[in-house]
Amino acid sequence: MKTIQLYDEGHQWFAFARDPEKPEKIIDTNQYMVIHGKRVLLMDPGGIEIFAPMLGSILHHTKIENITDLFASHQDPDIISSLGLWDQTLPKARLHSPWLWEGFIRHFGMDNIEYVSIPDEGNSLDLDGVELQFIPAHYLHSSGNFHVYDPKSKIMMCGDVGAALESPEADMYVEDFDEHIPKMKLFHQRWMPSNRAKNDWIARVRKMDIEMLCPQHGRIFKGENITKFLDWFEQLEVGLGVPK
Amino acid sequence: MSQTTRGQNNTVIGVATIAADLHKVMYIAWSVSIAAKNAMIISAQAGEQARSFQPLTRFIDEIAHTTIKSTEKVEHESISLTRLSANYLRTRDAYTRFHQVDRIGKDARYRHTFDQTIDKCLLQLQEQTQRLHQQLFRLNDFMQDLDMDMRAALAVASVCRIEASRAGEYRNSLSVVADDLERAAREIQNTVKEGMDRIHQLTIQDTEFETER
Repeated sequence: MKTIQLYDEGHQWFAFARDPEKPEKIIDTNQYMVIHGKRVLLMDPGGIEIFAPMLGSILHHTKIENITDLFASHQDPDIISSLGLWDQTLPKARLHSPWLWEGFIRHFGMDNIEYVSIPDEGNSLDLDGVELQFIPAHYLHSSGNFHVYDPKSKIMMCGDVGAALESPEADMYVEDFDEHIPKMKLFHQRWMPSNRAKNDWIARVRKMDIEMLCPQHGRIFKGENITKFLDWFEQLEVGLGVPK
Repeated sequence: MSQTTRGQNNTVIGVATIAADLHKVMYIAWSVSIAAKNAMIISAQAGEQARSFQPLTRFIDEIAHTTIKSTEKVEHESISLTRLSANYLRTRDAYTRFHQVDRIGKDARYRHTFDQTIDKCLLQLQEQTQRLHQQLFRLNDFMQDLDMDMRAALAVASVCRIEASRAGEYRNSLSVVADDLERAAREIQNTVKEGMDRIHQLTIQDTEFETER
């Protein structure tokens, strides 16, 4: 699995993606990790099939006992179906996830990890002095959904927003935005159900100071590509699964 | 699907199949109980002609009730075994994936911090394997008891047939009771035998899952 360090000033951000041993028919996913001293947060740690490459990669950067917190943006299997394995690996960890999904996520197997419900309006996690904010992103695409924003590094982990369907060999960063559009269009039109939710999210995100927008599939947006993405997303009609 | 995975799935499927088959046994036993009650009515109508048959009807009814109770116990045991084998399957899967972590992260700086997790999982797997075997043996014992009950039922069916032959005009009606009892006992015996064969296969498969660390 490819590891990319996104930030290293006091605390560190990593992305894990493009696993070459991934079974062919499962969607490629990006997992993220923040390390600050002896505290580690894993964000959308992924499905059961990528648990081994994911943990194998993490152990290059931190001790197992330092992984104190997990975050699941929503309930999908590619986000958190590995929970049963993390539960045996990190019995004292906490899982931060939408209150809405607790009863559902527990079906993945959770006997030891503590479920910390995130209220609809969001809240934040103090990772030994590094504040990580859980930003509401309901209906993007899940009805209970959050993103993670780090005001210090100005990185935002934006779940399925900005996701693209492409090959496992693809680069990690968006270079040419226009070329990237075809890889994102159907995903957003079909997976995102609500124009109202989309516009509400865009309005809030435009006010935030973001240098990196990190989706759970596809490539990371940096610099002016963030504004280009927000503009493109704003004019896109979503929820096209039901014919007019 | 790997041989190991197939074996693990077979454990769960095998035990779940035994539970489902035993549920069928209960219905058969209920039908025997109803047949016994019919026989009581017929032998009461027959009066003196079926005098020696009457105590047998109570005996048939007792066999039916004992079978129902034993089957409930065995069924309960096999459902608990299904749950245990599903947990075993999960632990086995976790253990396999933990080994993948070990392989993939062999050069990782902090790989050693994962050792405790693997060791704990191995211990859990060994405990579950032991419990699985113990419960399989217990289920086998229950099944053997049920088989013995059915042997007794077959003997009663033979006696019933002899007594029915002395019941004059009620001979045919009472012979039907003896036939029903024999058919039910043989059907239950077959189901029990299949269940015991399955348990034997599961036991053999499980011994193949020796822990490799």
